[in-house]
Amino acid sequence: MSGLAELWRSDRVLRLAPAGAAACSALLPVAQVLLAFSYMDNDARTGLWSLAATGAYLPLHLRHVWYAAHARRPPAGVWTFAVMAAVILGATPLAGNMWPRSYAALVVSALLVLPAPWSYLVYVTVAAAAAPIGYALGLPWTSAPWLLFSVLAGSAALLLLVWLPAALTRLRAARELLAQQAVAQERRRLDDDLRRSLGRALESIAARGEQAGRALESVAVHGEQAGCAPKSAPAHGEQAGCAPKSAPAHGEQAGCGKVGGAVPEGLPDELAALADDSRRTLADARQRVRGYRRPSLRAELETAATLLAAAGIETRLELPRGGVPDAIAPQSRAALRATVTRLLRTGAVPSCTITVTSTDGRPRLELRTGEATETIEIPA
Amino acid sequence: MIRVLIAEDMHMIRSALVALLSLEDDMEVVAEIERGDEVLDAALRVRPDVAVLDIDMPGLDGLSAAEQLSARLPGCRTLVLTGLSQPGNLLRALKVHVKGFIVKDAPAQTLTDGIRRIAAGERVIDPELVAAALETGSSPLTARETEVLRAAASGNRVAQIATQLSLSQATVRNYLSNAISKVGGRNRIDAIRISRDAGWL
Repeated sequence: MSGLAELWRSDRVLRLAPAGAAACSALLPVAQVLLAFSYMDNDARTGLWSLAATGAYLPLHLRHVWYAAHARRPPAGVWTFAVMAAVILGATPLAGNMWPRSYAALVVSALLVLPAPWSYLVYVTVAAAAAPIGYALGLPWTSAPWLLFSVLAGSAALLLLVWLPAALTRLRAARELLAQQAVAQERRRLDDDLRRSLGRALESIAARGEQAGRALESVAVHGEQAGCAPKSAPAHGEQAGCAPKSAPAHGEQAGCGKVGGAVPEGLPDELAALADDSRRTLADARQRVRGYRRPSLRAELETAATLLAAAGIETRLELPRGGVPDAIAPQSRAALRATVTRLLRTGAVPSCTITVTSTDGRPRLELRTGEATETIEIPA
Repeated sequence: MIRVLIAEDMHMIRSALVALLSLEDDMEVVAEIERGDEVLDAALRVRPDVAVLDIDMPGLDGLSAAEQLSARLPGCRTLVLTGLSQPGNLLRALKVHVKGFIVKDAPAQTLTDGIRRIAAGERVIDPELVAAALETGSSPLTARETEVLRAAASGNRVAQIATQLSLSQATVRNYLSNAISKVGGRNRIDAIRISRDAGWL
């Protein structure tokens, strides 16, 4: 239970982490806008420009952060980054001398969206330009280093917040992959174990049963040839030259076969039934082992096509662009296997086309061999 | 009368097969072979209608012997006795024109019926083998990866495999690494075991 609770907690952290990263990424630009209105030197227009520019670039920046926190690259990310850069750089002469602080968001987006080494180049260039630009916009030279520091520290903090959930997402994906591999390995182990233990044991039972049946039959036949008890032996002793009816071990007397005369009635049939039962159990065990393995329909169809082609039947596989259902019902799978077996056995078919179609959202499988077409429904 | 050649390395099983087929009125066992590399010579000598081959034999495996027979004696139809543990062998069997592929634990009647049907020109394949082959899937290995893994299975070192196949050692290591990853093995030995079990080697 503690393991499950731990898993649930870690999943909840993983779900909340990207939202946290986006919220923190929004916090700094919002603070930047508030400061733009509150600085003594700035007039209302500066604040309004700052507000408008932030309103334009912030959604794009948050989009970059959201995707990166999910360990994915945003679609058309380079273009949205270009728009964001144009807005931030374009607003620089209008939004006040503290506006270069917003370059922190620009460099963060650059690192999240652009491929290396361009992202590093943009990061270094923009961060280095923040202080001179601030100075050129009227910021005292003593404040310029602080501006540079705020861009570097702000961007580092934001990147940390984004990379952490991204790393968690990748870790979860790796964990899932490991779990899948462990399951596959366990299935293989079970398969091997069953084959080695149960399979061999049952094969041995079947072989021994058959052997015993044959031995008893042959003994009975010898007894018969020696003028003794026949195979269906209720009346061995009644035969001429053999032990009288009353004798308990009639075969042992009067020169009859020692074992031949002692064959109990119905034993060969019983042993044959034992061999049949063992064989059936073995088939059941194999079916159970197959239950552990669920090959995909696509893999099964590709193998079927390969087998048919190897048997000299020219085979074409036509699969829909939208993909093939992964799992199919056991009846459909059995029908497919029966058809493939029939085609392999006959071998007289020159060509075969296997097509997966979808009608009204219901996938179906068609096997066309010349004139004949066989359709198999594929309920998932 | 169907003339049958039997190739099986285990003496007791071979004798049992001969005894079983001798009971049939329409069959005659014309040769008993215990090694795979003796099959072709014997077949060329006695000209059987059907060759019943065990899949695992010393000298040459049953499928390779079947391939030789198909090339040198196309009139002789082959029936291979196999286990269910190597389903990938079915594909190889079909490629080398094996006409019958029967599991060893099938009832005796299946074998005699199978020989008659093969002699009549039909193909006999156990449905269980087809199901097992479809479940296992085709080999994920390329021809070169199979070749390298087979060489490694013979106990050769990387340097020896590289010399045998005229490849660099780095390339051999790459092929081996790809093969291990494709079959889902933990290491080279595991990959060889998995591939053998599936009948891909």
